[in-house]
Formats: sequence, structure tokens, C-alpha cells
Amino acid sequence: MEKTENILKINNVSVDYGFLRAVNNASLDVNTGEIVVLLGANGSGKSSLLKAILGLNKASNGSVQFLGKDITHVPTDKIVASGICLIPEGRGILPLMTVMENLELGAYYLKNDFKKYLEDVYQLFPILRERGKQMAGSLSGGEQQMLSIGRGMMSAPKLMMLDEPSLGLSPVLVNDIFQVINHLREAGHTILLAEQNARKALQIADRGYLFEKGDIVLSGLVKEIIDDPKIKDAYLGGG
Amino acid sequence: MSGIITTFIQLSTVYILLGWGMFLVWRVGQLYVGSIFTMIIGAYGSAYLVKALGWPFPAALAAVVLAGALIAFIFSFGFARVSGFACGIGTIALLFIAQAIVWSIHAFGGVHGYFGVPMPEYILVLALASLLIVGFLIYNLVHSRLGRAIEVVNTDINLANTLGINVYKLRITLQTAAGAIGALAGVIYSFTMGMVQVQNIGVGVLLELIVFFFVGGSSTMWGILIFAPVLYSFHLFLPSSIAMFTDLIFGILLIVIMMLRPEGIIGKDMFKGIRRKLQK
Amino acid sequence: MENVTLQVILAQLINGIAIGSIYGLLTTGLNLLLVVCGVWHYAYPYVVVFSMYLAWLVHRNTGNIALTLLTAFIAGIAISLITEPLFRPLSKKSEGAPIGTFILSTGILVILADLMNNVFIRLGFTAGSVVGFPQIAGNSLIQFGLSSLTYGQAIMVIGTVISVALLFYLLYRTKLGKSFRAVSQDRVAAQLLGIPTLKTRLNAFTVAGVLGGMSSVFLIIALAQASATISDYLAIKVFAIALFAGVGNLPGGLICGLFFGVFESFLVSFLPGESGAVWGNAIAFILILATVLFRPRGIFGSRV
Repeated sequence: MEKTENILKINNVSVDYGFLRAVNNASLDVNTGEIVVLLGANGSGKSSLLKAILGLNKASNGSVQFLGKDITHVPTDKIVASGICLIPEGRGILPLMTVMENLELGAYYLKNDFKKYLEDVYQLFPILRERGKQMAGSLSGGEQQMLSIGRGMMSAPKLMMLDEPSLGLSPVLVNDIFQVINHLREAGHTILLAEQNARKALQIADRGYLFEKGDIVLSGLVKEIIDDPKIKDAYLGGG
Repeated sequence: MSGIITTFIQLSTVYILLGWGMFLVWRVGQLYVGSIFTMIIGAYGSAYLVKALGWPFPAALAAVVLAGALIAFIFSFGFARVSGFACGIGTIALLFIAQAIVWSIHAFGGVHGYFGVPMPEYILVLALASLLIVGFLIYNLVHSRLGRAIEVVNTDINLANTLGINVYKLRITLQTAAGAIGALAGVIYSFTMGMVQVQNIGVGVLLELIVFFFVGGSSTMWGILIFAPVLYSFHLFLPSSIAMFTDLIFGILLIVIMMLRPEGIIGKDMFKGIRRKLQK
Repeated sequence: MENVTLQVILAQLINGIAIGSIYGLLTTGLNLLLVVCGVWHYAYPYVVVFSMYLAWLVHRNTGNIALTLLTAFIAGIAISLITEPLFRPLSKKSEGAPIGTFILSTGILVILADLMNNVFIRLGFTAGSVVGFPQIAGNSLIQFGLSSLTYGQAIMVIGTVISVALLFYLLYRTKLGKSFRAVSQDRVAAQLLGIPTLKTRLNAFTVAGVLGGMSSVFLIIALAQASATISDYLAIKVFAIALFAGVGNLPGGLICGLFFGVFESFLVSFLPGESGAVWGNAIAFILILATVLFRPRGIFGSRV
């Protein structure tokens, strides 16, 4: 039985865009093997926080700790190399390179077992095996999302962060994606997820944080917060 | 007044005028050295008109300034459309072309240069008057509605487009103005030096102008006004053991500024600070 | 009679391809720095010529040809790398290729040009504004009538072919090359992939330095002299070729460099006298100016 440990600890982090405060003193934790979901409307701060974790946004105050180490001001590529991957909104793939090349680049820091990781990705997304030599830009929206997750898997991450994975996908594909995320958790991954679609997200998540205009207004185990009236607003707003 | 001082003032004015020409177009997002190109036209044109054809000086002055504006205007149809960088390379290429053309015209003295240009005393007056008049016009432009439109273009060109600002037309206008100013600078130059050699005023001026303009401050008209004389004086007034390394110093200055404070020494933040103090 | 004309044409063609190789290598190096590092390195051709100066100093002191050429090559790489950190603050500030990098590189070129034109003379390193090299590999490899293909020209052409092949192998078959392409396509996506920004920059500057170092060696062979004026013309031509082909377009720049070399070679030989070279340059500039004015994205399309 694996002891659960704290993978990510965010302490009072704020993110400012000029005079606009996108995230206001947010604190949260992610532990091994969990799916933690950040809920809230568009522009409520979820994406900004994910980017701040990776160093794409500057944290105006507070700290981000990953596996006990302070990564608040570490450059993005070093953070990624240490085991956090972000599957960003808008797919985050390189459209002018082939599917295979995208997956290879995902494995940039992978020392061994490239074939094993690749096989895991193909098992989960057989369509990527077929489309190996195609330009990533020519894939459909759903396929691009799969590629994005696949290349995230190739980096053997200790923490996977997904930013609005269901955005722009048809309901059938949305179901598929959430099944994939669940499968990833069963395979041992730890997942931090930002989602507008509260209904689907709460079906698979362990814990959740609700964002409203940059503040965290609700947090806790899913089974505890799911009946909170603020969550019902989130259902109506996002899903 | 001593000859060196008057020459210094007149030549500083040349740099300031050229810098202002560059400034106008830089603020709408393009690197433009067309004012140096029209300077060549102005310098050779006015010198030839006066010395070889016997035109009266004011007529020659008016003629070349108009020619400068016209030529810049014609080229601007192409240059106003392209990226800031392409404009820079294109106008630099113009300088090399001008150099080749001038060198092959025997009437202009070819490679050796054009000599025997009169150096009348009233050039000093012309220089100072040009500074005042052009400076006044630019100051008013910057503080006008058009000036605010220019600022929007500088901040965010897409925003400018959505606000209905015609960037293309704006660039044509400013490039034409820069062309006129450049020609004026050329006249002052050749009648100060008494001669023109294109290798000294084309590519030769380019690098110094870039140093003066970007070190001095590229976001306001005051940067070049103050720093052209300051930096140009290095050549003349530094002790000779240091003066021979002036170019090295210029290069280092430019690199340091672009690394640490890319907007140049005199920036808009200075004015905000002064304004705040005045309001107290 | 026709035979002689054909030989002259062939000689100009070979000369053109040799010079064109240099243009092609430099344009490629420039494009690489532009797309991977977001730097308009106008001083890059000056670094190349400056390396020739350093090589000349070595030659003056040792007379050893191999050492001279090696110096040119290594200096090209080393000096390119030295200029890399200067561009970092600007690259951090903005996306894409800020024009500030062009301005900064003019600062570098002012220093290099002054060293070549002024400081070296004052310090007694060189005697004038032009330094001369002995003719290297000037013997003919193949003779046809009055003209010939020299060893030097053959080295240049073969050297270029090999380096281009290696470069494209690098770009399309190695991890490093993939990271170059990734960064040039989407810098943020590349960061998300964990591609190390600094290491990739340094690698790109090194590759550009290698191309520059080779150009330096070839220029010594082809021109047998170096001066700051050569770097002025080289810089504007190489940048103009890049614009003509489409900035950031690596294969396009390479091809256009070659064509430009051939074009220039024929132009200079058909125009009379000394002004031939001057007009050769000017007509080339006019051609490129026309591109900037009428087809700003270049003939092969820009990648930036």
C-alpha cells in the first residue's frame, strides 16, 4: 500500500495581470493518486493558477512547493523536467510536426523505456498509432486532445495538470476524455484538473476547489461539497 | 563665435533632425532611415544647384526639401506596408544604392566627392531656426490628437486598427515628413562642411545615428535632442587618448542600454515623474 | 569563339556557386538565429569577417595555413557564442523577434568594425584597413580551356553540400533539431514540453557559429583578403537574401543564397570596369529593395 504524500502545495499564491488580480491568495494541496479539480467560470482564475504553478505566470506572492521543493521562481523548463506536465487549453501540440514527433518531444527528458511509454499511449489512444506520420495540425479536435494527453504521458510526469480538457469537444468526446482521465488515475497518475464542466469533473474527482473571481470560495472532498448551493451555481454556469 | 563651436552646433543639428525623422516613423512601429537617404539628396542637390547652377540658396533649399518629401512619399507607398524590420533593411539598402548612384555621377565628383560648396555664416541661423521650427512642429504633433493616435499604434497595432486608425496612411505621412526633414539636414550638412562625400553621410552616419537615437531615448523627441550633441561631442572634446576609442564606447553604450533599458536614457517615465512633482 | 564564351560562362558559374555557398551558409545561420532564438543578428556577418582578422593574426605569427583556417573556424563559433548572452534580456521580454535585437546587434557591429578599422591598426596588429591572405588551394583541379575549377572552389562547394546535408539531418532526425523546430514554431508550447530554453539557445548559436566559421574559412580561400567594408556589404546582402527568400525560411534562404551568388558573379563580369563591382552590389540591392516593396513575405514565404 503506497503511503499518500503531498505532491503539490500552493501557499497564498496571487497572480496579477497589471492591475487586475486574477488569483487572490490561493492555497491548495494535491496528494498522490488523487484527482483534484478546480471549478469555476471562465476567467475565475483556474487557468491562471495552473500557469503560475509552471512559471508561465509570475506569482506576485506566496509559494509553490513540488515534492517538498520550492519551485515558485524556477524557470518553466526546469519545472517540467522535474515532473509536472501541463496539458494546456488549446491542445498544446506542435501542429507543424508529425504525431510521432510530438510524442518524441514529450519524452524529451525520458531516459529509458521510451518504447514502453509509447506503447502505453497507443493502448489508450489507438488512433495515434494509426496517425503516426500525419501532421499534428491535420488531426481533429478530439484527436489533438488525445495527442496532447499522450505527449504529457510520455514525460513520465509525477503530476499531470489539465486545463479545460473538454473545451470545444462534442458530448461523446467529452465522455471519452473523462474516461481517459479516470483511467490515468487508475494507472497511478496524480491529476490536477481545471474544468468549467462541473458535472463531469465531480463525477471523477476526489477533491475540489471552487474559484470565483480569483478567490477560492469553497473546498473539500467532493462528497462533502457536492451539495453546497455554490456548487449548484457552478453546474448551471459551466456544464 | 569660434568656428569649431558653430560647426559643432550645425552638425549636431543635422543629427538631431535626422533623429527626429527616425523618431516619427519609429513611433508607428518601423525602423526607417529614409531621412538619411533624403539627406544625401539634399546635400548633393543643394550643393550642386548653388555651386554649379548658380541658384540662390533659398530656392535650392526649398527645391531639395520638396524633392526629399516627394521621394520619401513615393517610396512610402511600399515601405509603409511592410514590417518594421523589412522597412529598416529596405531603407538601409536605399543608402547603399544612393551611394552607388552618386559615385557614378561625374558631375557630383564621383568617388572623390563634391567640393567647393560655400560655407556662409547664416547657416548657423538656418540650423537653429530649423531646430526651433521642426521641434515646435513635432512637439505639437506629439501633443495633438494625431499624436495620441500614434501612441496607440506604438502600444498595440491591432488595437489601433480596431479603433479605425489607418496605420498605412499614418506611416506614409510620417515618412514623407521624415523625408523633408532629412533633406533639410542634408543642406545644413553640405553648407557647413563645404563639401559632400557620400561615404561619410550615408552609411557613415547611419550607425552613429542609431547609437545617438537609441541610447538617448527612442520614445520621446528629447532623447536625440539632448544626446546627439552630448555623444557627438565625444569625438571633439574628449582627450585624444580616449577619443580614438569613441566608436568602441558608442557600441558598448548601445549594447548596455538595449540590455538594461531598451527605451533609452530619456524615457516617458521621466516625464511622468516631473509632471507629478510639478503638480505638487 | 563560342568555346571561349562558354568557358567564361562556366568560370563565372563556378565562381558564383562558390560565393553563393557562402551566402547560403550565412543566410541559413541568420535564419536559424532568428527562428530559434528570436534574434535579428545583424552583426553575424561581422563576426565572420572578424574571425578572418583573427586568423590573419595567427597567419602573420605562424605562417601555418592549417592553423590559420582552424582559427577562423573556431573564432567564428567562439565569438558567436560570446554574443549570445547579450541578447537574453530582450528575448525574455517579448514574444517573437523583437526589433531591439537588431539595434543591439548594430552595437556589436560598431565594436567589431572599430576593432578592424581602427583599434587593430593603432595597436599595431594590422597595417591598414585591408588584410591580405596568400592564395590558398588556388591550383586548378580541373582545367577546361582558359578557365578552371580550383581546389579552393571545389572545397567550398563540397563543404557547403556536406554541411547543408548535416544541418538538415540535424534538424529532422535528431532530438536537438526537433527542439529547434519546436521552439521556432511555438515557444510556449516548447517550454511546456520542457525543452530547455537556455540550452537550446546556446545550441542554436553554436550551430550558427559553425556555419559562420565555415564561411570565414571559405571567404579566406575565395577572397584572400578581409576588411570591414567587406562585412558591410556581406551583412546587407545576407539580410537582403533572407528577406528575398522569406525570413526564417531555411531552405528558401539557402537556395536564394546560391542563386544570388551566381547572379552577382555574372553581373560583375558583364558590367564594365571597376564600377562593375559597385553596380553589381547596387543592382543586387535594387532587386532586393523591389522585393521588400512588392513582395514583403519573400518569394518562398516567411516563417516568422
